[in-house]
Amino acid sequence: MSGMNRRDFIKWGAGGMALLATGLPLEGEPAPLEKGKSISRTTGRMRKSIPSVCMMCPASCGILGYLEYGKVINIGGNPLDPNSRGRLCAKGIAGLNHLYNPDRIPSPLRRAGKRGEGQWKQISWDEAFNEIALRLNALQAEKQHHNFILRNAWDLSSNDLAWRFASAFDSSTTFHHAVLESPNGAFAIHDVSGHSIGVGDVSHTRYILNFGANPYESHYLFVPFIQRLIDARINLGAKMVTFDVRISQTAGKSDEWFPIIPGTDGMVVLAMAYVIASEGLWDREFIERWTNTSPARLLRHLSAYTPKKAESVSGVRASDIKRIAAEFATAKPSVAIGGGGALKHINGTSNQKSILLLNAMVGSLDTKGGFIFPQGYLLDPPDPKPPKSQRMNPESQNLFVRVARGTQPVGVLMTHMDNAVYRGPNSKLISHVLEDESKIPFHVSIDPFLNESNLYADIVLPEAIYLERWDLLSPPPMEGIPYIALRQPIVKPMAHSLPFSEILIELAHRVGGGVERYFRFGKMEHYIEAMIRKIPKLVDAGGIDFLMDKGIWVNSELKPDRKRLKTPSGKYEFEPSLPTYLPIPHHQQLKEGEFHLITFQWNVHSYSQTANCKWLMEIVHRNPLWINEEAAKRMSLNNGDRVKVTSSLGSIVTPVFVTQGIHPRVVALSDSLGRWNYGRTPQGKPFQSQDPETNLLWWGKHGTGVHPNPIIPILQDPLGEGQGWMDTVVKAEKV
Amino acid sequence: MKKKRYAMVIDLRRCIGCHSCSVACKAENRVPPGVFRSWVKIIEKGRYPNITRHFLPTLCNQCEHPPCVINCPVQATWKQEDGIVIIDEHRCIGCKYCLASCPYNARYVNPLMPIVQKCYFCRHRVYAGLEPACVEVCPAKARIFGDLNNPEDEVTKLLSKHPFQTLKPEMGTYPQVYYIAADADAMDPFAGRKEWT
Repeated sequence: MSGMNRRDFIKWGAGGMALLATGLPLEGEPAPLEKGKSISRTTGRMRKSIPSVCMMCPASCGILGYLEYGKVINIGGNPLDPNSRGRLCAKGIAGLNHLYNPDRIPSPLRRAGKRGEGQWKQISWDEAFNEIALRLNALQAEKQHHNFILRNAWDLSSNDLAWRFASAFDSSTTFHHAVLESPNGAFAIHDVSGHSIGVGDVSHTRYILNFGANPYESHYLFVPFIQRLIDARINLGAKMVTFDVRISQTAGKSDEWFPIIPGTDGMVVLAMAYVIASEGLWDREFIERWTNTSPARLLRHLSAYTPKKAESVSGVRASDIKRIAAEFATAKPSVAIGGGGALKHINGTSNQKSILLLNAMVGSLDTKGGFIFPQGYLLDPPDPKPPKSQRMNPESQNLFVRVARGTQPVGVLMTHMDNAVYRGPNSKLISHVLEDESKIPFHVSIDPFLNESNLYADIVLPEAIYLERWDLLSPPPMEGIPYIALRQPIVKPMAHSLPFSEILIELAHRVGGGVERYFRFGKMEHYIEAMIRKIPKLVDAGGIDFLMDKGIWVNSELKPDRKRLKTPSGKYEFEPSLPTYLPIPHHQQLKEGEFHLITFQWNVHSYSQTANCKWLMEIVHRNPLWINEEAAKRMSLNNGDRVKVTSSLGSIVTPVFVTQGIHPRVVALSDSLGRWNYGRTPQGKPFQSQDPETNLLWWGKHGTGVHPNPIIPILQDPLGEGQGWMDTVVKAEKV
Repeated sequence: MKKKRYAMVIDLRRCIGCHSCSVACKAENRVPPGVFRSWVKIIEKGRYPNITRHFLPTLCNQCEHPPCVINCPVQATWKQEDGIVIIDEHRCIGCKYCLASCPYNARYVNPLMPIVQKCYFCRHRVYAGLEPACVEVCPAKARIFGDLNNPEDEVTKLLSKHPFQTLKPEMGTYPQVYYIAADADAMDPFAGRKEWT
């Protein structure tokens, strides 16, 4: 605080305090505006702040938790975070609603009635640990280690610990949260580049060609990504062109929007690649030097994808495809990005590969303003490590299909912040599997809240939320310079909850039989310190103390490391099979009255995790079905009328939102809403709790939404194993 | 030292309609459910396939000529020299005359206590050298806060460089919240198709 120094401020604060308390503060002295601070409205005192890392979405933005009288009063962005640069989204602030949520599980629970009845008995941690250990010991005794399954389907920062526990136990199957919108994206990027993650370097680009991504509302690096995209649009005059089936905020703010038939993005991408190749607009040198294919082969392969053919498949005019392709190739640097609209299909993997190829054609892979592969630090957890018996799989519903068929035996199912019933397609199948004690004999769920899935659990362990625990992370650095972020407890865990890590560590010791060998590091803090010790520069800077003070450490001596590819050939590998467009078979003969059903996400919600945040639900609490005005007229539907939407799995009834902003053959229903067992807040009806504001919840009478997943069948991309979220065909009729 | 004249510029070329400001304000000022000091209006316009979306974050305009101040029967609300319109919650009798006279719907009655509240540019933060909560959090840097009397300030520079608009200029209130690239339909309470929420 320069200009107005601290002493002046305190003087003012002391004098002004009485006045402030009466609501009449003095007008302050001029002062330059500062970031990353918070002041009490009532006492005028600066609040104590503790840096940590957000977990409301996978972006992992740096946050500051502001404390007053031991309570977290507010959450702000950490200005030292090189990714988010001190900015934060609505979800990040609403993390407070998780922390002080009246529906947090008070203590370990044991099922008292039948599965799914919601009858619980509070038990002690000791009892809970012993029972779980007993069950796991039984698996060990019967040599059925493989029948222990761990699903850690949301919390990226605990992936390693979850893997460690499962591997130490010699389990066969673990699952982690799939980033990059869909496992399809990650699979394609890995296949082509050997990297695990890729993102458009939108801060330096002049042209953004967007296939189905919605960075204005949701992106796995939401705040870091969108602020750079906006900077490029305003400061560099970058043009943005969006292909999407509906007018998302992104599409609605793009320079051009092309509505497209769902699942045909790949065709348009390849047609653009063909235009670029046939008109000689490509970067031949880049293709020859950095890809394992050749311009001649490419041209031959792409000649099957003419703009004319693409027009007949996708509905995007050939002239537009040609024009956009030429613009994309000549605006340098330019980048093509893909999002849910292109990836959440059963042809999503090849769509992402085609998008990478399009970037390669104009030399935009791993270049400034192109498509980059930001790698964080590889954190090295303490030794000894369990043998690498298996890889972690992206979260997938195939597990439940296999269990239902009886091909996958399960002894103990452990789920952590997982809500397969709500998150998965074909919710009914999954809930049936979870309800069946013969299929899943023992199910333990670790979660701060009761939800649609752990309703069927035998034991529920109350978990400390992200503001109450330790983690060490290295998120994908948008600036290319890797950094380390520390998640530390801003407050002590509420009531009787424990962090996931502590639960696993304690359990490992109780289970024994060799599992405990890999958990001798003691506490999570020691585990983190061991990782920090392996980064000498960070140790020199002060190690854990530095991180506890600042929250973020950036190795400013590192320069972005480009052009080091991990693929066997050292080049981008598009061969042996060049990307193709794979038509989605059941989309080909849509009958009159049938629609494509697609799902989408809101800017204030992150799927299964945010419906119990009052500040977010207040903004978006209902999700009428988007339908094109023309189609609505044919069915004589007005805004708010109810329709029955039927797929092969069954039907749901929802009000409609009649709009011009969606393809006439498509209807769209968002996720994140329509909760049926996630506590009281999502219902939007007033209730008594220690928070006086819960008496004022008001949106219940406006409707709380409908969830599309019960009518979305399980369909997987055979390559990337991603779910075909956008591939459902439905009939809609007026009720 | 010249007097301050606080103002906010909302650059709608940057706004992404993410509601971070709405929620940051809720958290900062403990605004109870059902009422907002800051809200983002979202509209969609055009005919398929030529559709665009427009956002309009709204808050108290801290008018140069605030009708709410004129109409308060107990002098519980007034305009400070630095331009911020404030409410003395102890004087307020909750008569709602100011609510009725505000052309922008910026005021509300706190459902937990019978007093009127509204945005006051996070005065408690500004006087301590901080930005208003909505400005600090904005992921797209669409909200800029500053002093119009300072020629070096970003708000002054932005307003001298770009065409700008204010809400309902015909009311003669002279708002101190300025919009860059605002859509006419978004600014009109009756035009444009409303959102679903």
